[in-house]
Amino acid sequence: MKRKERINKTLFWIILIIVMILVLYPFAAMVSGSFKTDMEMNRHSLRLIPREVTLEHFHTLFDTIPFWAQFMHSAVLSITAVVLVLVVDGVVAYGFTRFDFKGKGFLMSLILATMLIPAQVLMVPQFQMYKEMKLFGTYVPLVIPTLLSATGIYLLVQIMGQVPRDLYESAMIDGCGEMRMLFKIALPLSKVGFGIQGVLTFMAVWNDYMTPLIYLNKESMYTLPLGLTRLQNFYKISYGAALAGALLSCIPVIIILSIVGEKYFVKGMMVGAVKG
Amino acid sequence: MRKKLAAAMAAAMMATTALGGMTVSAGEQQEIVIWTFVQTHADYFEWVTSEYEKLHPEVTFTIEVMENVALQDRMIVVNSSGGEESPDLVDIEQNAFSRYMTEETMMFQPLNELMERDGILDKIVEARLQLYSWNDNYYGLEHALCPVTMAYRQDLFEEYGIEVPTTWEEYKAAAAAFAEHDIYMGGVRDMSIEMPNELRALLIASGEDYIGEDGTVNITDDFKSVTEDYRDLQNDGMFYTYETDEEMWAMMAENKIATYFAADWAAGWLRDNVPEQSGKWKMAPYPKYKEDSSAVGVSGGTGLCMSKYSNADQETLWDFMKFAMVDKDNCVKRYELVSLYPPVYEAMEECNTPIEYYGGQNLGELWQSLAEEIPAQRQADWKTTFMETFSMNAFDYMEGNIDTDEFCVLITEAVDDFNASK
Amino acid sequence: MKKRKIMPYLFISPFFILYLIFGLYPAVSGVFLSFQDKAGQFTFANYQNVFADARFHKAISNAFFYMLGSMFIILPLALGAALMLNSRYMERKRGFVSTVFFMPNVTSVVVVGIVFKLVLRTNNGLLNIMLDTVSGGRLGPIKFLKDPDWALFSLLIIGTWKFFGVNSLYFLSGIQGIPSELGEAARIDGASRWKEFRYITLPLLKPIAKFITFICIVGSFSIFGEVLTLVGNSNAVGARDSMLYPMVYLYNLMFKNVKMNQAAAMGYVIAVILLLITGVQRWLFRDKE
Repeated sequence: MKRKERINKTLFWIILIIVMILVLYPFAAMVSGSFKTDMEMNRHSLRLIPREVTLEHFHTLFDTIPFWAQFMHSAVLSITAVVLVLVVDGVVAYGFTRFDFKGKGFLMSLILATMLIPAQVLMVPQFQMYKEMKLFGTYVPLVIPTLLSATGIYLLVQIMGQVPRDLYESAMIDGCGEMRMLFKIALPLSKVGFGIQGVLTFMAVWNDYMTPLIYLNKESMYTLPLGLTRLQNFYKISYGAALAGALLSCIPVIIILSIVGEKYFVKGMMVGAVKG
Repeated sequence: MRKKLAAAMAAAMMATTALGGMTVSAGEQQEIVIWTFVQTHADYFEWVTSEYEKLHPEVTFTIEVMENVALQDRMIVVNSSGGEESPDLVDIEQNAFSRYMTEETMMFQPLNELMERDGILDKIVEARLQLYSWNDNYYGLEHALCPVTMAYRQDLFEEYGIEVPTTWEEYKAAAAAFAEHDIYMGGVRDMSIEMPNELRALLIASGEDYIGEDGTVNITDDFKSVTEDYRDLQNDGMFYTYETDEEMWAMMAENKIATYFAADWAAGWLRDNVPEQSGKWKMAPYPKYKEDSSAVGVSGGTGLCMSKYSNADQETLWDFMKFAMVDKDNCVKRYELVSLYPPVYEAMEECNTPIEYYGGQNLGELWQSLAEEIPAQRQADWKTTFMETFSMNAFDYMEGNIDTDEFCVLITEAVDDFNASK
Repeated sequence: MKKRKIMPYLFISPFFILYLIFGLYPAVSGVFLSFQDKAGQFTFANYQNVFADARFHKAISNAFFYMLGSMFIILPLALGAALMLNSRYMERKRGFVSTVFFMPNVTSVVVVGIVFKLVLRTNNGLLNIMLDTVSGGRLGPIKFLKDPDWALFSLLIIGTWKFFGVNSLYFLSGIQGIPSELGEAARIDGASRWKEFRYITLPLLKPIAKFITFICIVGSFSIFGEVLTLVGNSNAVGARDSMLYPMVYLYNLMFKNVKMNQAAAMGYVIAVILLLITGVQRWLFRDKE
């Protein structure tokens, strides 16, 4: 029995490691490409370990754009969006899972239906609207779309829906208010959902190119993706510069991801654990 | 809440009908916004605007660089919103110009009157302005001459005793000769994905461009035979065909590619990518397809256009455009800064210097000598449809599932459908 | 008692208030746009054109097949990965591995485009080199990105790489919500692992599976960035339109061909198609009681 168990475990890890290598290959290619010279990239595009390591692309990056300023704009903006989205989505999802009320099914369908209209169709009317609201040239139009995205609400509804009703009932007997129950019961038991939605929102705002391009008219307000464009050369294709930019811009996301991953993806806490 | 929404809706609807704003007149303080899609152009604009600001302290400039596709998309959004937040001047890459060739989307100021008044047409290579023309009006000033000539490996031609081709027939013969030594005649983008730029350059140089003189689709027997030649050169392995650009440089580095068609803006690519082959490359005129073909092709191009939505004083904008795009000294400076050979006659002479990489050959002199022959690159509103249909069927054409006639019929039918739907 | 009646609506109101302020006008205005011709006159022609457009049919069928592909390839793989993540062999590495699985989602579109072209191209492409080595040269290079018969497969490779991780986390969140006593009880009763999975885990995954399939459907019809990075800035959307997906077509129509009104009409037709498909999906996942 012990022996079989050990073989199983080894097999398990072999498969897992192969999967992880496949998943990480493009990422490794990005890291390697951003340290390769253009010459080596051209001649040996598939080589993962560069013969000649260069920092040239990073120098270009820091010389061409005010990297840290744009980095800060992106960071503040993305974090603001995450906080707002989690508050709104969390509260709405709680409303849907905690209560039974008239029109519940219909209202949920309505929320989902808003997701079905392609964003491109809305681009021009949105532009006119924000212009009239005097919100052009501000960060507001960059955050709003994430707040209107129904994915997070739907995800949290499905995950919060698994919280057993009797938990709320016994809390109510103890004199807990709804807000308290949201924070003490629903939220901790749906941590995984909040974690995933938080990371997805952060990335959506962090990587967004077209929205800031349309709504920000001052270079002093630029976010990182807008700045990184300056590294792409229409005349001369240099993978290195593009990859170096992508690498630097995804490092913070990965840091956040590993923190969130440790805390939120795993200890999604068994329901039973709280009960006892 | 409802009130606010109603107000916003009403206001937004009014905005779609209201057009334009206050116009600034000359002499007043004004800020000019320029959009471009490539850092090298921005480098030049930064230099030339600072020169202009020294002479005209009342004018200041803002230069925005963005990705090319994004720039075009942003222009369309601006246009659809009645010109809100339009730039004053904008770089339009020639490929994208066709999307502005309708009554609703033409968002640039026609420049003919200004050009005639100031005698610009005598100074600039007029064939280059065709790229930015619509309904007999010119809408942009060109950055570069964009002459396509043939770079070739002098050492390889000598080593294998092959003559440098001057006609298309000789070119094909040389390709067959090099094939015996496992050397590709050229490297082009895979034609089963899209039409290679080199093919269009050859068509244009032979006067057989698919956009006819009257702007209608023009598929001649020569068009078909050139297309077939390209198909066969690729299928018979005489061209190295690539999907991703860097593949070709790797092949070139192995001394496997004998010729390379390059415009002025691409002449430096060889130096950047295969520096060790310095002195081995030479530049020759374009091989002639027919007796009366031009010995030079054209490819690419970018025009500086004036937005019709600009609130800035038109004379000031035009004055700056002339300063940046036609002024002799500035054009020479641009060539030094970003290697764009000027399409302005009087500036050419000073750009003609021997280039070390090409064994001391004076590329400028070659280009200048061909400037009069530069063929026009025509525009058509159906060009996007043409290219789309070409690409859509190119794989079947290259695989032999359809022949040249069927291929051409599919393309002309799509263009006819487009014209009928206008 | 009155308070309890209003309470639920208070909780769900933030979304609706935000939508009324920022979302409704663009959506309604888009509808108006779709019923107008270039001159702003009322017309049905945009919708007629969309319905009659063979390329639009092609785009919808491409999305439909991609949707089937992702449901029957990506989702089962994601479920498998979720079970692995939940396995007791994982011990303390679970956080790390789930982070790794999530990474493709973080990688920018630029990188995806550059790297997957290197992987999938015909000459000297990584996958073709591997095929060649494994088959000892018997399998000729496959034209992954050029041959229309391979286009769907190539996109599914990228889709699998990009989305199996986040989907496995969705599944994991569902699995972790299952009270652990249930599984223990079943094992004590002598149920096999398969039976435990089939009769306990799977049914309890229904709520999250409902969400995942919904996202999968909407996502399949929204493919955009992946295609653009593969075809680059060319006019091509694959041989025989094999990479023409609804959003790509809509985008081209809107920005390259500048047919705003027809593009708007197409957008709403796509929305209705999605409404129908997700309607069927929600019916299949209805609570049978």
